[in-house]
Amino acid sequence: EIASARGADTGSRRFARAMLIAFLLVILTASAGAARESRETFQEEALVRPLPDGRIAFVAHFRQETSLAARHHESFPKAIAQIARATGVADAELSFTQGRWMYRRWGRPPVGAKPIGAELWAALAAESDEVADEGWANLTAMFGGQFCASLSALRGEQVVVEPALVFRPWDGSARVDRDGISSDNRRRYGSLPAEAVCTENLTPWLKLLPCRDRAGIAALLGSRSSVFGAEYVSFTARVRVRGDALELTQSATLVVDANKIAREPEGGHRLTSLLGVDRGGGANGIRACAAAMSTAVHVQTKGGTAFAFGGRRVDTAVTADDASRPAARHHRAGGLSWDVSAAEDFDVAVRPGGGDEGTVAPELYAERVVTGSGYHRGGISIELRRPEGSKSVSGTRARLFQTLPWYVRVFIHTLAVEIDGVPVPVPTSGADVGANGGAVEALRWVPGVDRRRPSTMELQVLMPASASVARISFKFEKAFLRISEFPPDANRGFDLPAALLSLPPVSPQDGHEFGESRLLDLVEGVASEVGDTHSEGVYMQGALLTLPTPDFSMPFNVTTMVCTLMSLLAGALLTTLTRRPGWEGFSKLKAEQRKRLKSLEKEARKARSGKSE
Amino acid sequence: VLDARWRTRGDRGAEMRLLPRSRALLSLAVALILAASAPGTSAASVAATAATADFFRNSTHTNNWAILVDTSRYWFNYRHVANTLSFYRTVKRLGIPDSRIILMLADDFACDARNAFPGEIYGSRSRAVNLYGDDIEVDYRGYEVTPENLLRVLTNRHPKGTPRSKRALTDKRSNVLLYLTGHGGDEFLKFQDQREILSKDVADALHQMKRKNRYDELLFIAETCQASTMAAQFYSPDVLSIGSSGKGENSLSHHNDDAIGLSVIDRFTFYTLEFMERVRGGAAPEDAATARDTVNDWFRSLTKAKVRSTAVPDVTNYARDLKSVRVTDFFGSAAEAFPRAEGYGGAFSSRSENEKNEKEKDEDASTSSRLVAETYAEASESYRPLEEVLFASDPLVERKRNGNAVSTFGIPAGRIAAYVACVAFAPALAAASRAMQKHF
Repeated sequence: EIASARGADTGSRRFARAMLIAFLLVILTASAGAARESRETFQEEALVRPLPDGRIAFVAHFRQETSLAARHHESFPKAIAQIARATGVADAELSFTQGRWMYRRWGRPPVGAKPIGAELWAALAAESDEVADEGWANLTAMFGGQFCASLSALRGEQVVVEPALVFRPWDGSARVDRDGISSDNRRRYGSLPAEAVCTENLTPWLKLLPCRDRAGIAALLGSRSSVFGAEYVSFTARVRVRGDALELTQSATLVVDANKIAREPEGGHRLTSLLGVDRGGGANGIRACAAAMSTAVHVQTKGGTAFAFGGRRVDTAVTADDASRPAARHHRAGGLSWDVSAAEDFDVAVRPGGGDEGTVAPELYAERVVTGSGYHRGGISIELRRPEGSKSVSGTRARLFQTLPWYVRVFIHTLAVEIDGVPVPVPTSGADVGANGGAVEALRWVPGVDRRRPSTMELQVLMPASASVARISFKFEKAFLRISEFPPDANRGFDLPAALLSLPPVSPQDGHEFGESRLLDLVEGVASEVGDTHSEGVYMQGALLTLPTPDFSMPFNVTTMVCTLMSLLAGALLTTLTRRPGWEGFSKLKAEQRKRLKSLEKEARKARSGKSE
Repeated sequence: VLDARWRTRGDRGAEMRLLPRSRALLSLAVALILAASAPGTSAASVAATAATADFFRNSTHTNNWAILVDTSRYWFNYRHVANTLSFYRTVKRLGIPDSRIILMLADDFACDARNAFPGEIYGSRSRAVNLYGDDIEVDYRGYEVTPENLLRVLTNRHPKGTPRSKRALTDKRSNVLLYLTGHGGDEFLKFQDQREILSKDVADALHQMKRKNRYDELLFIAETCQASTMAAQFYSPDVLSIGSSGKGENSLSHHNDDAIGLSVIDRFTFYTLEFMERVRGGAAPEDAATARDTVNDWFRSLTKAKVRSTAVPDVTNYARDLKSVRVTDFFGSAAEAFPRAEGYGGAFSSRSENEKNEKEKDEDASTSSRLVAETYAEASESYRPLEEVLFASDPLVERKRNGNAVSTFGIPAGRIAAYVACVAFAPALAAASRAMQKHF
């Protein structure tokens, strides 16, 4: 019996061993497959561009890609992959911005400038609006937690549902395609113009990078005081699903006042000292991140020059093709590029050439002002102006996106469009008007609903080649808020979200080689894929609106005063009701009686004690 | 099982291995010794007191959380953010990670346009320490800092989809540090000059926390005017509170920084920070000495001459003797793990004598390694068979219960005073009652 039991035991053991081996084999093959699957890439690039007024623009651009299905990542941030999977996001962009890009002084930004505060837009792969709303709620909560921002405020009354003309590819044609590329994608947009942007937002952003801010281009963003001391700082994170691939693109733009920073002996400013990461001595320059497939630095200057510093030695008048340091390539007129993938300590000094630095003005300048006075009514006026000296052959087509909180009640019938002072007809009936051949080619108007949704206005305007100014204006009424709806600093005013002007993509400059660099493609406005033409967005400044704001201490004052008056009245009333003539001496009488009673008691006690003795 | 293997710093004492009954006997003996040596202080009694001080150290927490709240908006309240960040710096320095800190700042001053030092906050004129640091995580900021959200964090009742970073996921073994600063008054604290939270609100939230097993002990600190009144309504057990000022007193700021143009820190926080900066959380012997600083030491360091208001501790809901409560029980992280001699599978294998001898040799090697070795030896001595661990009642809870029972031998000053008062007034009361009898 024992022997047979032992036999059965060894048999089962052998079986278990075989199972274990099979299991291990399965795991091994699966992991090998997974390893093959996860082709993770990471590219980092930087761009330096001197601006005409002595400032220097610096752009850091990072691109990471992984497989959407991958569960394990080598360098791709797992948090982002989880967010992408959990929310069903097809394309989403989050940006944090402080300051304002000055189009008139600085020209077109290298990569799209963003509105002040925090902004989030997303295209969600969802079959119904309910699913999309849930995905958006999750996205705002997750991004809010990830980036330490109050994005969860982007719910309900703050969200623009399905912007039709912007936040989707547009090649500049007149056709209004309301469905975009894929009708499965549902779009949502929200912005928080009053959101503070600070270290707590930047640090998680940097933590998405494989080398954080310790190595590579991101090390140049290591000084928080320089980043937030900049005149304009904007950092964005874009999560995009392309087929099976998940892409995370991060870019940061800074505008630093170079006049405040010491020059190099040979003229120009070192990048590390511009960005405050030069701690003096030792290797402070760029050391490529080990996880990066490519690390590149580009300098865009016309008339100016750039010097590269390789190793610890500082050279003057470096020729671009010196063998001892990374070689520079001319990527186009006035531009230099360095591949610093193998660099240990690379730095570049930029000497502005003065003059206009070859800045390119946008096709139209856009400005928005709040008009009117008083607490009841007001208006908004948007001016689109063609830069002086610029010529257009076929006119300029632009799309305007303007969303306003529900408490700004727009009178859509007051919408007026003037081109060079001449009013042009505006279609005002219906929610959507197709192309009608006029200057206003399309209008989409979604009125706001109190406490439920903001109003959204989208316009497509064709500005004739001969015209120089277009003015769009409308009037509104300010709603009364409930006392609980006022923010603590209501007297400061209410921030209105920035309006966006979307312009057709610009054509690249001559000599641009497509596909050479993601960042340069972006700068030149070249689409990286067919059907992914990105239009150029020009954000207008935010505006502050004063609403009828009560004095919040008033209820307390009123309560106190009313209570005082009431008690006075009640007291007087009670006295008049209860007091009777002839009772004036009553209390005196009572006191006398009490006194007599006491003396009587005393006498009685004395008498009693005398008796007992 | 986990509790048996992972100990808190307080578990070093030998009483772990005593049965409740023998422990009670021992405490009786200690009490007798104390009573006997009361009139003349002898060396023996000092030693006995030292022994009891260690004996009564009975913190039962296994993890630490900090909820730090600045309720003031507007630039001129810079010092309130600096206060909160001073505490943030301290708890982070002593080992509480960002994931266990809920930081609420009602306004952004670091990146305010008026701040001459962008991205930086300083709590002293010398500007030696940037309190904002490079990797701060602010969980609630701006308009999100409301009484509602504070109560939600305390009670862990959040709307659906609230990210993990905004939740305090405490448990019954969590020591929680709750710090509130802002403008307040008698039993209230203002949030952003718009809403108020009352002492009663916080008291009820804390009670709910206790009922939901959300804290082991809680240290409540208020830095406002009339701060001690914020704790006036508290009624939940194991809550120790301290306010920067008594009823009717103002809390004052410490000094101005002319480059910032404002007062940069309040006095209570300044001197707390001064005390805490000495405390180190490291494992080195010289650090271990400062880590033994008690809450009593801290409270005593906050003299009226320094703070210019009365920093009032409130122990009505707190049983442990403050002399036995280390500041690191609340300000540091309790995650002190040490290896068992048997390794992780030790419960199933036996130990050889050789190992033990080796350990004894190690003990003499150096001071620092001796510390480790002590914990080593202790861990191995406290080895118990698996069944015993599994079926015995929770040792930490048991110890806590007994600890609370005997901790009256720690004799809080209030009780002595009450007793003395009773004794002193007894003859007077007797006389009074006699007089009354005579009268009637």
